[in-house]
Amino acid sequence: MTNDPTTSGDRSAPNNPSGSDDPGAPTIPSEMNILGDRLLPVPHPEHEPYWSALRAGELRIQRCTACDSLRHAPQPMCLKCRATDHEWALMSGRGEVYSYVVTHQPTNPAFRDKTPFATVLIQLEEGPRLVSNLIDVAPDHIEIGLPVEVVFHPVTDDITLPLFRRAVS
Amino acid sequence: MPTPDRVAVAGIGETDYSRDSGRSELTLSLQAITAALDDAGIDPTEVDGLMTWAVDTSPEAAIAENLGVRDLKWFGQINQAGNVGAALVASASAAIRAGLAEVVVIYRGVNGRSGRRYGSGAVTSRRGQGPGAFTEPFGMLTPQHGLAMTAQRRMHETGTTSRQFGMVAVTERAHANRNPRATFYDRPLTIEDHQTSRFIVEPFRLYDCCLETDGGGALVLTSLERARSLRQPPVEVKAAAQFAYAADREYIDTAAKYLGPRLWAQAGMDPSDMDVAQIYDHFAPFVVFALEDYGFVDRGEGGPLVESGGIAWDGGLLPVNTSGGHLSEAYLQGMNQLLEGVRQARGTSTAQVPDVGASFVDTGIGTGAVIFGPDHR
Ligand SMILES: [Zn+2]
Repeated sequence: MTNDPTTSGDRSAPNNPSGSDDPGAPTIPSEMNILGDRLLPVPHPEHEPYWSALRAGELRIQRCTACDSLRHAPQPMCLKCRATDHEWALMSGRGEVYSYVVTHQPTNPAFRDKTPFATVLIQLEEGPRLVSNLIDVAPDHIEIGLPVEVVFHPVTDDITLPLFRRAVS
Repeated sequence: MPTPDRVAVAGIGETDYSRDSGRSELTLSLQAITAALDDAGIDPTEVDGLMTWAVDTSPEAAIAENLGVRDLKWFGQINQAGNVGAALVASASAAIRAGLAEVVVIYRGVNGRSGRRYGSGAVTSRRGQGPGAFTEPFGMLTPQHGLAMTAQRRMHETGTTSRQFGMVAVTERAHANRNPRATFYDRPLTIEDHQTSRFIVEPFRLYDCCLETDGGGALVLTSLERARSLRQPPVEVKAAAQFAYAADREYIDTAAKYLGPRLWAQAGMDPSDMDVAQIYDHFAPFVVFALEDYGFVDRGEGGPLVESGGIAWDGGLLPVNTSGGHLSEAYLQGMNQLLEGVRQARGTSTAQVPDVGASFVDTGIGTGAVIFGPDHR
């Protein structure tokens, strides 16, 4: 995972499908407008390591230090062994599309100019599932099982979101 | 005095269903309650229990004050979402069996169209907070989005088609066309209408989605013994159960897979004993999934059942949502399904199934279900 705070725009996963000079710039088809203003998350203090990892260009998921189970979204207790101690484990960033939906009728002003847009459920290769968006696949080309990899999309100084793109490897 | 071991619905009531009620949710609740008490032949002063949806705005004390309840012994709200109807029936029944109250009214009144609209996320959005921090920034804003995610994956795994979902909507509309209370009483729907309707959140098309409704409903529960001396033939609560997930959401199975076995065991019945079913149809695909996960049919067979007329009131293997359901009657989130389940057990539905011995009501795709039955003495 790259970790380059000097890169402006999206910090990308190691491979660069666009082949452009800027290895940090994901290719976004012109008809896609999934980036841009967003409904911002309000991070809970207990989840700060998740958000700071994203700012640093890493996808880290909560892992129970007693039994090694991964869990997402974060929870205070491991449902497998009831331990509360946990760490934030580095993910490969690779996964596949487990399911997806396409919003045609927006219900929130933050998405009003983006329809139709797809929200995807990514199954990470390590197991957990993550809600996200694909930055380089138009909604009518998304398929369940599509291999994807994470890209990091800063939206404010504090918030970087994990988005995904078609995997190259 | 021994406590009663059997509980019955003695009365049901509802308001008109509209897009703009012009009254408060409290007024709608009170009007539905007085209609239900009148149906039962019970004086409002005899009510000693009140239960409602925690997401609503009409607290028990305000109801008691308006009804002139003298001694409110049992009251409470169940806090999840719209899907707590069966849980309220289970809780009210338990209170009556325990002798904590004699006449418990389950009620709600909602301005779901003119007021707080569920489809907008106004009720459910966490505004990026809590678990919403991990979903809402990506456009997953309403319950509809999570359900559509499940539906898409399930279509992929079982081969169920949008056309089969459409036949749920078409069948329910035909039921609503017999029901003068229904919002879409005078509007037919064809499968072509469904298949050409716009997507809202794909794979959900417009006619896969429930209505938004202003209205109220109420049920009066009391002991079966007392109900036998009242105005209406009693409808017994044969079983009532609730369920919440205790594990990670898988986005594929519905809660019906987990609640089903427990409900059938409680009732001493199995799915083939059900003569008619009301199923929480916030979105048409979930009728198909509930039919499969409760065990009415095998996984993947719900779509073919629907497509072959299997849920139609006249001759279907299991008639479903005989008042028109949330898609075509009204969206009172399980309340109108409970009312119709009681009507089927009484024999008074506008799409009455003959000889109903067991009337099944799901109030949240496996998060709660009730089995009503006529009083066989
Ligand atoms: Zn653990």
